Amino acid sequence: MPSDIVIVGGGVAGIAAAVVAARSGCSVTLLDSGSAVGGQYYRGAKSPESGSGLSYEALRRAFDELVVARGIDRRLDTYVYSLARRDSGFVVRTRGDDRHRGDVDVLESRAVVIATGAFDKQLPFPGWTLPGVMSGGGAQALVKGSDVLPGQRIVVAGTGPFLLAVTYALISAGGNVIAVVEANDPVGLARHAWSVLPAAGKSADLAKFVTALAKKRVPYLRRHRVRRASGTGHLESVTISRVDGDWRGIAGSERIWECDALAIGYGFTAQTDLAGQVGARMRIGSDGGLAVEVDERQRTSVPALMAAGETTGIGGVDLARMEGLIAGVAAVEQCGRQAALSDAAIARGMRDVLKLRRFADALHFAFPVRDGWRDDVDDQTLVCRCEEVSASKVRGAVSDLGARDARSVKLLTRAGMGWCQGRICAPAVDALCRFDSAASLIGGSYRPVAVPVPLGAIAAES
Amino acid sequence: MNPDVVVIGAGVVGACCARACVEAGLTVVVVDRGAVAGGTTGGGEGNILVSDKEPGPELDLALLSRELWAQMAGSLGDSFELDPKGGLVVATHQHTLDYLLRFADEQRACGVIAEPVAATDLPDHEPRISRDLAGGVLYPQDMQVQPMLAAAHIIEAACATGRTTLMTDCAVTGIDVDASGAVSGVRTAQGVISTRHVINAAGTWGGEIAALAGVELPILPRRGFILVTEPLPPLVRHKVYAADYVANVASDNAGLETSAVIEGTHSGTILIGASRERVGFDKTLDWHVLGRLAKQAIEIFPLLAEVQLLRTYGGFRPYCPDHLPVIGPDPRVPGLLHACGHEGAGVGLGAATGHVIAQWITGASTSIDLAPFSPARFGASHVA
Repeated sequence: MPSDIVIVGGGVAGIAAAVVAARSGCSVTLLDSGSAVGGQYYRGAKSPESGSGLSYEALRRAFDELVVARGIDRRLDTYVYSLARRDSGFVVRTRGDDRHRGDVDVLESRAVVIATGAFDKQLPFPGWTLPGVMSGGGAQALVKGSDVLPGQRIVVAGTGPFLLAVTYALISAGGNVIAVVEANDPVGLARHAWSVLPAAGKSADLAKFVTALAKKRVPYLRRHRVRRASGTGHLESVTISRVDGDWRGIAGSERIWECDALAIGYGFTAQTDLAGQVGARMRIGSDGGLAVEVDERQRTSVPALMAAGETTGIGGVDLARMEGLIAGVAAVEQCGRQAALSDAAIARGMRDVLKLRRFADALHFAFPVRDGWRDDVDDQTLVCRCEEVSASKVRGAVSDLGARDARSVKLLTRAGMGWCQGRICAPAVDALCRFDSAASLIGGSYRPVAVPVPLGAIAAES
Repeated sequence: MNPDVVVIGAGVVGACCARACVEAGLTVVVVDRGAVAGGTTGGGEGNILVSDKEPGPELDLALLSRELWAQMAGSLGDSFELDPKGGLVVATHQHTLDYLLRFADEQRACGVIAEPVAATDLPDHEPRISRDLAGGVLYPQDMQVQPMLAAAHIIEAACATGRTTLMTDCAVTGIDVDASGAVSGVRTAQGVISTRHVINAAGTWGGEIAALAGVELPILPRRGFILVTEPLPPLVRHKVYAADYVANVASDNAGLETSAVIEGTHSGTILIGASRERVGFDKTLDWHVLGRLAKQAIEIFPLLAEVQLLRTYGGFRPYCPDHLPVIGPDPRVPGLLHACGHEGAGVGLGAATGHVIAQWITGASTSIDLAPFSPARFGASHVA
C-alpha cells in the first residue's frame, strides 16, 4: 500500500521529519541503510542524555513511540537504489543489505523527504591510499561505532572544526593523538565565525573540545598541512610543512613525524544521488560542494520532493534537525493535511534554519579548501582508487585527448567508474582538471543506480 | 583558418573521417559542440560486428571496416583496447536456431566466417553459458574496442601530424555556401572556418547539421540502455547475444524491443544491452526495460542473477528509415558530405566510412559503391 510519505535516511533530519509527519496523521515509511536509526552523528549513541523540546533525545523517544502508536514503517538495513516520479507521486526502489541479497521492494508514496546526509570529502595526496590513512569521519566512526582506535600514534589533519570533534572522540577513547594539523588559520580568518558562535549555540561544544585538547596537551598547528604519507605496506610517517594562505608548501619547513594512523578531513560531500535521479535543481554550497537546492520550506524544485540535512548543504547536526522538522511540515502539507506543529513553532524553526545556515556559511568561509593541495599531487598519485587511475592519466585526458568535463574524463580514463561511482574522486578530478566546477560537478553527479543491486532482483520487475 | 575539410562531430565516425582525410594528404579541422566522444560514441559498447549484418551493402562496408580497424590498431599501438574476441550468437529455441543457421549460410556466401556450434559444444566456447540453449553460431571476425578511447586516440594521432586541429566546445551555427550553392565555410561559436568540404559526422544530430545547410536528412534517435555490472574475473569470453537481436536491429517497431547482448570488458565489468525504443531524446530511466535486459541476460548466463548491477548508461542511436547509414556527397549542396545515421554500428562501420569519404573527396574511386548509402535516396527536398 502506498505511504503518504517516504523518508530516505534515519539520521536526525529524517527522524525529525518522521515525527512531525506521523504526529500529523500521515502514514510514514522511513528507510535507512544502517542497522539502527541515528545517522552518522548519533551512531551507536548508547545512553541518551535527558532531552526535552526538540533535542535529538526527545525526537528519538517520540519516534520510537510513534513506530508503535502510529505504525511508522521503519525499515533498517535498507538501501534505496532508485527514486523516480510517477504521476503526482514517487516510486522508491529499495534493496536489503548483503544479508538479504535480492531482497528488492518497490514502494510508492505521495511525497518523499530525502535526508541522506553526507560523506567525507577526500582529496588525493601522495600516499593517501596507504593502510592507516583514513578520513576524519572514518576514524570517528571506528571509535564511536566499534570502540576501536585507528592506531597507536595518530595524526589528525585537514581543515575545519570537525578535526576537533574527531580528536575529541579519539582522546576520549584513550587514543594518542600526537598533533592536530590545521591548514587554515582560524585565529586570523574566523573572526566572523566566532562572532556567530554564541548565536548558534555552538560555544559549548567547542569549549568542550578545546578543553579536552588542552588537558591532553595535544599540539594544534595552524597553517600546516600533511604533504605526504609514507610507509611500506602501512603508514609509517607523514611529512608535514607550513603552508601559505593558498595552502602551498613553504620550502624548508618540512618535518617528518612517525605515526601509524592519519585521520584527514577536508569537509563533507552531500549525498545528492536520489535528488539527481529525479532532476532536482542543485546548487554549489558555500563549501564549494554540490547541494540540493531547497526553498524556505525545504521543498526542492521537484514537486512533492523535500530535502533536509546535509543533502541540502553541509551545515551540521542542529541545522539538520531543524530542516528535518520543516521538511516534515512541508511533506504533511503536500499530503493535504494540517501539520501538528503550531505556526509559531514553524516560523521559529524556519528562523533557526536561517541562523544556523548563516553559521555554517561562516564556518565554510573561515575554513575553505584552498587550491595549493593540487601542487602536491604528483603523476603517480592515484586519483580514483576504485579503478586505480593516476593523476597523470587524468591530466593527460585533458591535455592530450580533448576531455573537457568530468564525464569525458571518466569515459577516457575510467576515473569514477568503479564501486564508488565517482562519489569520492569526482570533486578531486574537477579540481585537478580545473573544470568550471558547477557545470562539471552537476554533470558528473548523475548516478542512475544509487547503490549496486543484483541483476536477478531487477529482472523480477521486467 | 582554411582547411581542406571541416569534420563536424568528434565521435568515432568523425575521428575516422579526420584520420582518413589526413592520410589522403588533406588538412582537417574537427569541431564538436561538446567534448570528444560526448555523444552516441560515449553511450555505446564499441562493437565491430559482421555477425549481425545481413548480406548487402552494409555487410560489405562492415567487412572492409574490420580490416581497417585492425590496421589502425596496429599503427596506433593498441591505445583503444581492440579485442578480436569473436561473437557467439545463440538461440534459445529450435525455430530461432533454424533461422540463425540459414542466416549464417547466406552470410558465409558473402565472406563472413560463421561456424555453427551445437548446443553440447557451447560450453567449450563459453564455460558459464546456460545448458538450456538450442545452439549457436560462432563469428570469429567480430571485435570490440573501447569507443571513447578509440575516438580520442584517433583524433590525437591526426592532430599529431600537424594537419588536423580539434576544436571542442565549438558548436556549429551555420554552413555557408557561395553563389553557385557550394559549401564555402562553416560558422562556429569560435568564428568562421573557410573550407570547400564539410563532413557531417554529427551522428544522431546529423539532421540538424543538414538543416543548417538547407537540406533535410531523416535521422531520428533510437534509445538504448546498457547495464554495467561490478568488476569480475573473466566470465564471458565472446560477445554473446541472442539470435533475435538481428531481427530487432532490422525491425521497424517503434515500441520497446530488447534482446540480450552480453560481453566482458578489459576492466572486468560485464556490459549487457541492448534495448531499442523510439521515444525521442528522452533519457528517463525505465526499470522495466532494465529488468527485461537483465532477465534475458540471465537466461543465457544464469550466474548473472547473483551479479551486482553497478551502473547503467544510455544513448541515442541515429537511425534512418531504411536502417542504412548516410555516407557520401549530398547532391543538393556541393561540398557537403554526410557520414552519419549508422544506427548502432557507428563504431564498427566508422573506419570504412572515413576511408570511402576521403577517397571520394580526393577523387579516387571508392572501395565500396556509395549509391546505396547516398543521401539522394531520400528524395531531393530542401528545407524551406
